[in-house]
Amino acid sequence: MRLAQIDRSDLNVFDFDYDLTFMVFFLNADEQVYARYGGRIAESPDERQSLAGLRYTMQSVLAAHRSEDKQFAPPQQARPFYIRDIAPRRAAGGGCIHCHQVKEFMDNKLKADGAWSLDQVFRYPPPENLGLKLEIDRGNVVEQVVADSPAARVGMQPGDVLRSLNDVPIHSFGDAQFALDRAPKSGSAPIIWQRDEQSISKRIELPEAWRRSDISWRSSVLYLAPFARLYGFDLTDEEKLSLGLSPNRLAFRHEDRVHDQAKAAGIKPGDIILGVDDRELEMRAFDLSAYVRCNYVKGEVLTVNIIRNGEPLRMKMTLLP
Amino acid sequence: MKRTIKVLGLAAAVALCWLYAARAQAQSDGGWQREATRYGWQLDYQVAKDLARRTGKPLMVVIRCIP
Repeated sequence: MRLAQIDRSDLNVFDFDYDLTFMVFFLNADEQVYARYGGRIAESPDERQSLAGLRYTMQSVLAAHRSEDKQFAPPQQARPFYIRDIAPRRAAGGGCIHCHQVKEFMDNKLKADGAWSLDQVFRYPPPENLGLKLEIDRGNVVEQVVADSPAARVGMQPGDVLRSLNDVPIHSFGDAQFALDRAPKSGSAPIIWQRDEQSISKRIELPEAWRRSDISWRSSVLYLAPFARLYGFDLTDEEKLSLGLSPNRLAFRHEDRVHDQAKAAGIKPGDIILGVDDRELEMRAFDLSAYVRCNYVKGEVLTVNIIRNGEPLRMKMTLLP
Repeated sequence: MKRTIKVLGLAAAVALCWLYAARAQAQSDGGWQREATRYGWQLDYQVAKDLARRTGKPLMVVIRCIP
């Protein structure tokens, strides 16, 4: 069936990433949720979806529905929850409420209660944040494990089937995002995967700031997206080598025009920008803006690493929207 | 007199545009519903839940902003 009016739906059942415009739920007649299908990353709204992937999730849900040992995604709370509980209809202009407005109303309620924090910005982290890439056409099968990532350290391998993450059964990429949204901001979470006939159960590490990802596509938090406002031209490979930098390292000479935000940090024309917060970044000048948008929010202070007249300097810059 | 005719003409044009847009919107709203039900989609959640209970089948619920 198709639900077109989120304002009339129990959000304790239809609990998902409200910045999305498409999400599929699989549930039984008692409103117990087997799985979700949907989800996206910043680069593309539908890169993580395919008809084959939807079919795979449907088949996986049918198998779960027929199983004696049925596993459901746990709801956030015991009782129903409607958007009208926290926002009057007139707050949305009296008309149709967009899904991203649900998130905005929820954030406003948290702010009013003094319970809002930056954790509310980085919602529904993709499993890639833990070094785990899932197949598009088989949403719970591991396609790739990034070396030296939490997924690699816990022993996962391509071809493994992710069965449960943070106590949420996994049938799809959307399930993995839902499971990770409920995970703590650091520490660890339980994870179960299947390799051939063997079921492996461990805890996956959640390093500091693991939830952070590019929020630039999220309508609900666009007001928080920051800009680096550092502009210039990449150094040549020879110039980088003369500074002891590899050709892939970020290093660019700031252009003559310096934005007020950078000026306030002490950046001057001709400064060589090497990166932020003492990180060795491998990217081009053009990519720095996206990197800052992915990893910081408005109001945060970062350190800009520069070289001026051959001397390394660290400049503090407050990020503005 | 000319000014009054111009104002009345403009008002009539605006009213016609508004009526046309409202009609197009109503047709568009009803259009996707007709198209959806033609392919077996349920649009009433309670009806869909009752059907799931009666048949013992799981529900697939699609949430999508109406384009």
